[in-house]
Amino acid sequence: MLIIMKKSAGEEALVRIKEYLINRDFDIHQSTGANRIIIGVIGDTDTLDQHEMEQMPGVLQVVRISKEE
Amino acid sequence: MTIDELRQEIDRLDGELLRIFNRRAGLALEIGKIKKERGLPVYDPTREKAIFERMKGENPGPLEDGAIVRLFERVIDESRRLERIMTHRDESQEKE
Repeated sequence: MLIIMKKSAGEEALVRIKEYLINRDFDIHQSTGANRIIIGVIGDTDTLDQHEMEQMPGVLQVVRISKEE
Repeated sequence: MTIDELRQEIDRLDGELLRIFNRRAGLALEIGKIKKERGLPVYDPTREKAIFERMKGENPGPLEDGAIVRLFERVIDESRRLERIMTHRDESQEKE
């Protein structure tokens, strides 16, 4: 799963989403670009509530990666 | 220096980085154990921010500050992952 943060997302928003994921025992890979931060979430993300995360401050888009056939 | 000599130096530095990364991970694990004993959270955003700021402040280049932050993000992500795995392993051993 990928979580794309808004350009305007502040540090507080980033901390909040990271806390949300880490407290649920997910490993994350943060990638900080010039304008955006993308968080790669590793693990069985089926248990994560995509809608809930999309409503969190600073989150632009949550992308589920389809399972391979 | 020739390309071969430069590559030999890179190989030597990679070996050094490997030892340093593992030594750092070992220390992070020790901290993880203390955090667990004290009931402290695995994620410490203040500490992570302090590491990034310090590394940017001490960065002599030629890597840009952004590159330094990205490298340390990976190091910290992996340390946290290791901490989580070890904590879970300890918990499952305690249950046995």
